[in-house]
Amino acid sequence: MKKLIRGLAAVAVVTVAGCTTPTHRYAEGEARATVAGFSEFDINDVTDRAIAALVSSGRMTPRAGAVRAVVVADDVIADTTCRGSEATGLADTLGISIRERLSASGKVDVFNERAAQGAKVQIVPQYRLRGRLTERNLRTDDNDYQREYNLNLTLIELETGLETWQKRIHVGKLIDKKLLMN
Amino acid sequence: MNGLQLLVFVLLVSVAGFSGCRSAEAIMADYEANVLVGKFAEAAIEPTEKADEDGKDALFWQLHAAAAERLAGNNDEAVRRFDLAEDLFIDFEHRSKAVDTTASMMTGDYILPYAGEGQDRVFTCLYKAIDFGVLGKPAAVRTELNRAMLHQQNWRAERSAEIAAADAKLERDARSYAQSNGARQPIGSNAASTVSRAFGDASFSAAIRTNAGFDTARDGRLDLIADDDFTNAYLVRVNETFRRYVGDSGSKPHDMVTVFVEDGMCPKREEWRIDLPTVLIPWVNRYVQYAGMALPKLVYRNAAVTAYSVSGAGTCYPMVEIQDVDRLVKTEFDVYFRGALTREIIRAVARAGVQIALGAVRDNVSDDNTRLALTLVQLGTAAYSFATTDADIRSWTALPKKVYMLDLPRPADGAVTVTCGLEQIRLNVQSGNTMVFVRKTSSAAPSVVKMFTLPN
Repeated sequence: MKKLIRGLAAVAVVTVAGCTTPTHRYAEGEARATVAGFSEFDINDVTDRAIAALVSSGRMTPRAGAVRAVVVADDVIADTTCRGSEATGLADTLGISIRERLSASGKVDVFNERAAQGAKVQIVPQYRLRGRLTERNLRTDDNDYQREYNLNLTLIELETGLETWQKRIHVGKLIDKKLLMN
Repeated sequence: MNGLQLLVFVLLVSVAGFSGCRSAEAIMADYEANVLVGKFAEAAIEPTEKADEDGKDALFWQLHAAAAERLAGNNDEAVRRFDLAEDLFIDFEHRSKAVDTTASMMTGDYILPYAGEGQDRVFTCLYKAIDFGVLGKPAAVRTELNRAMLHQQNWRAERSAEIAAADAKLERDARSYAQSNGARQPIGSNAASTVSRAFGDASFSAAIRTNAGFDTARDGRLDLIADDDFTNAYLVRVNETFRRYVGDSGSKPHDMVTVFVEDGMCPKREEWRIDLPTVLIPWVNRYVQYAGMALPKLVYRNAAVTAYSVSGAGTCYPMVEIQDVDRLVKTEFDVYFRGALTREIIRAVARAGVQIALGAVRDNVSDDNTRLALTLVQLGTAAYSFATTDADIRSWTALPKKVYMLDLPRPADGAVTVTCGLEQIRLNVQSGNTMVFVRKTSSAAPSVVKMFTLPN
C-alpha cells in the first residue's frame, strides 16, 4: 500500500513538473506556436512578401545616372490592439524590417531624414513608403474570433505626390475569445 | 442571564468578531479623504501596499493605486500599474469558474476576487492612452485607445456571458449547498422561480426601489439597456480627437486645442439590509432566527464645480458636458445588482432551509442533551448567517462624475485659461494640435493637468 502511494505521488510530481515550460531559445525565423498577437514570424512574413512585391513591381526607378532609387521608409503605424507598452516596439520593428529588406534588394538606397540634416552631400529622396498595420476582430458563430491583420503599404512619388504603388498583405488568425485582449 | 443564554451570547459575539473584519473600509476612507483634497501621492501609498500583496482584491487595489499615481504625476508608475491591472482582468477571464467554490454560496459575493466591471477596463485603457500621450508615445496612445474601444464594443456581449455563467453556477451551488447541509430544497422548483416569487412581493420590490433605486421589473436587463446607457462618450471623443490630430481620419488640422475636464467623483457603494419576504420562508417564527440579506446601493457624490469654461485670445467659451459617468456606473451597477439580488435571495433561502431542517430534527428528538446541542447549532447557524451577510461594496471609486469638453483654435500667443469654479489654470500651449486633460476631484482639491501636443 505504501509503495502504491509513493508511486502515485511520484507520478503526480512528474506530471506537474512536466506541465511547466523550461526556458530555452528558438532559432531566428523558426515558427514557434502561433499566437494571437503579431509575432516575429508574422513581421518577417509580411515584410518579406511586401518588399518582394514592391521590388518586382518595377515602380521604383532610379534617377538618370543613379544606380538605385532613393526611398524614405517611415516606421509603420501599428493600428492594432496590442498593449501600449508594445506598440512603439512593434512599429519600430516593422519599420526596421522593411528598411532592411529594401536595402538587401540592391535596388534601393534608404534615406534617413534626420541624418540627412547634417549631411555634407545633399541628396533628395524620390519616394516615400508609408505603411499601416491594421487589425479587425470578427466574432465567429461559436463566439471565438477571426482576427484579420493587414499591412497596407503605399509608395508616393515625392515630386508629383502620386501614389504609384499600393499593396495589402493579409494575415488571418482564428483565436479563442479569451485571447482577444491579451 | 442563564447558562444557555450566556453560551449563545458568547457564540454570537465570537462569530461576529471573527467574520466582521473590514480594514479595507478604513483604507478606502483615507484614500477618498486624500483624493478629495488633492493629496494624491499619499492616497497611493496604502492601495499600493495592498496591491503588491497580490491577494484576492489585487485588481481593486491596483486600480485605485494607479488612479492616484497618475494624478500625482507619476505617469510611468501609473501605466505600469494599469498594465498589471489588465493582467488581472485577463487572468479572471482565463480562470476556471470552478475556483469560485460553493463557499460563496454560503457567504457572499464579497469573498470572491474582485474582477472589475466593464467600464473599469474601458477607463484603464483610456487612462493609459492619456498617460502615454504625456510620455510622448503616440503609437501607444493609438493602440490603448483601440483596446478601450474594443472593450466598449464588446460590453454587452461580455456582460451577457458573465450573467449566463453566474446563473448556471448559482443553480449548481444552491442545490449543492442544500444537499450538503441536509436542508430542504430551496422553496420552489428552482432558483429562478424562487427569485420570481420574491420579486412578486409588492412590499419587497418597493423596498428595493426605495433603497437601491432599482426596479425589479426593468432595471439591469441587458435586453432593455440602450446603447447610450453604456457607451462611454468620453472615450469616443478622445479617440476621435486623437485620430483627427494625427491625421488618421483624413487631413490634419493645424494648431487646435481640445480640453477635457473630468469633474468630481463617481458614485460609491454602501451596504443596506433587508429581510427575505416571509412568503418564501415557512415556519419563519418557529425555526428561522435570521433570514436577512445585505445589498449594495449607490451613493452619489457632489460635483466639484457646476460649470467650466476655456478662454483664449480674449474670448471665453463655456465647456459642454459630454459624459455623465454617474449614468454609466448606474447602468453597470443595475446589471450587477440584478445578479447580486438574485444570489442574496437564494443564499438567504438556503440558509433558512438549514435552520428549518435543524429545527425539525430537534423537535423529533426526545433526549434533552441532544435537543440542547441541536438548539445551539441552530442558533450558531443563524449567528453565522448574520455575521457573514455582507454586501459587496467594492467598486473603482476614483472615476469622475461628469466629463466636459471644448475645441478651440490655439491662440497666437499660446495662452489658454481653463476656469474651474474659483480656480484658473493658465496653460502655455505649444504650436501643433494639443490635447489637454484636467482632473478636478472636488472643489477643495487643486486641479491636475495633463497635456500633450501632436505635430501639425
